[in-house]
Amino acid sequence: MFTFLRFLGAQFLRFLFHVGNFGKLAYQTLLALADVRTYAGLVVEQMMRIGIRSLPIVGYISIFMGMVTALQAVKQFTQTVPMYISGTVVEKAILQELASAMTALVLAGRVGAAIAAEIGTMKVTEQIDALEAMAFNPVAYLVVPRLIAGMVMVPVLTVFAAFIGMISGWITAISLTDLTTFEFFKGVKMYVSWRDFALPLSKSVLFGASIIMVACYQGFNARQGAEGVGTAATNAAVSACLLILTLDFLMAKVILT
Amino acid sequence: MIAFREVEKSFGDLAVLRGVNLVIEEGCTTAIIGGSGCGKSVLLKHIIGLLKPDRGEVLVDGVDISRLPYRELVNVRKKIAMVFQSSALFDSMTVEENLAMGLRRHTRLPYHEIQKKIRASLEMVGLEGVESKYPSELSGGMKKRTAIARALVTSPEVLLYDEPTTGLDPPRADSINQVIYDLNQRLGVTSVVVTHDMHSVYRVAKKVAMLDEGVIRFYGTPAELAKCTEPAVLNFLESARGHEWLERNNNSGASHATLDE
Repeated sequence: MFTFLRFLGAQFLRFLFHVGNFGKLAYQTLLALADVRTYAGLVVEQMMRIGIRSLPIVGYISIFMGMVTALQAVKQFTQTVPMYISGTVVEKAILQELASAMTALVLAGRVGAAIAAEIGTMKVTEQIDALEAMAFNPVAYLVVPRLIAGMVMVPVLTVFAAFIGMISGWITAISLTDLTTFEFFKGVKMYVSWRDFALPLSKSVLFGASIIMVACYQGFNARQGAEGVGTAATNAAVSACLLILTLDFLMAKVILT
Repeated sequence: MIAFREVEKSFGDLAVLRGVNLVIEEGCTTAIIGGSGCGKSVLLKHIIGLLKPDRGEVLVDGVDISRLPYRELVNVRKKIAMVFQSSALFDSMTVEENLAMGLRRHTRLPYHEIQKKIRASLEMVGLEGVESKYPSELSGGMKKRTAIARALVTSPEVLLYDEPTTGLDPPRADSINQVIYDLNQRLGVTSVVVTHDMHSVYRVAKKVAMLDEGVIRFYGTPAELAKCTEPAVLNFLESARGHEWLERNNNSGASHATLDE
């Protein structure tokens, strides 16, 4: 029992240690925003890597996200509620929840792991020390351009995912049932509100920042060797997913109530 | 001038530096020798502010850099360049981009001037026509030379070399030693070379400092080192001679040779 309590205590202290260091990195990132000359030329490249190159995978999951949501809606509502409500359900599910959460979860794996591995490799091969020795601020050079790119491109990808999801949901709904396009969009328009746009956009900005910051933190704290880099990449993806799901609930609670 | 005053540094329970006092003379090459894991690289990293001492002072031009705010530390770093043990070239960039990085960030030189400086630095280390290559396409010796060229390109006042010949065969190690010697002769930059390779020490250094158990056991010229009777120094020199003999034999194919032979 005592050993178990000691284990719990050690884990809690370790958690606090990471929270403190993560806060320190966040503070250093805020300060590094002033070092525009270091990161200005790197933001567009990061937007390409984080955003444009993620379009195919985000497009692919969005097609199936829309299809499954529409399929579930039309099957569940058959002979219970007016069928045009399927349009409402697809719109609410995709805009308020699925587009932002699914996009962020996919990016946590694709982008988060890649960033942690890249920065982790730089750490273990002394490239980050070399940056510092060359009078560069590593946070301004490595974190800030990725953070800006993430906070811009994750919302853009979320809008893209929502658009593709709605189109595939609409096509699935009218192909599988007698529902017409007019009825589907009647359902969509009937209950649409500002929250359907404010919630996913604000969530996606926060998700973008979370994915990048967690990945950079894991990369900077990678231990020696290939195993350390691999662990950093795995931790980045897993921690970002957990953070995204937690923030998803908190943001929904704040904006919807 | 670079000076260490009572510098102490520990990592957890492990005390690596236990009161180092050392003055690096301006314009000459000083070698810091010592056994593996004795803290040579740790000492070197203090000069450029990559590590901060737990106690004591690290003075660069009379200023204690361990207490400088970040912005002022950056200005000190612009005067010092470091060649890392692993070369630490940015592997996603070409040789040219590696060399151009510091110039683009810290100067306002036009493109053609930057190109001229890059070519001049590469020529100085005996490398030409590698500008468009990536580090993964270079041999170990070429990587070291590129790292030296990257350090040189910003015209630093102090050059720090961390184990510049480790992992290289004797001819390549010799050519790196020649580059270090030539640069000091031609440019007159203050150089600090961390190494356990005594051949390197005799080739490049005017002064030698030996680090042992966290303190400087010996400081003097290579000739004085050869005559030193301090037991720790004698032990190190003896084992270094044995190690070099083994390495030479290994490189000539006699990998089965033993010290007794």
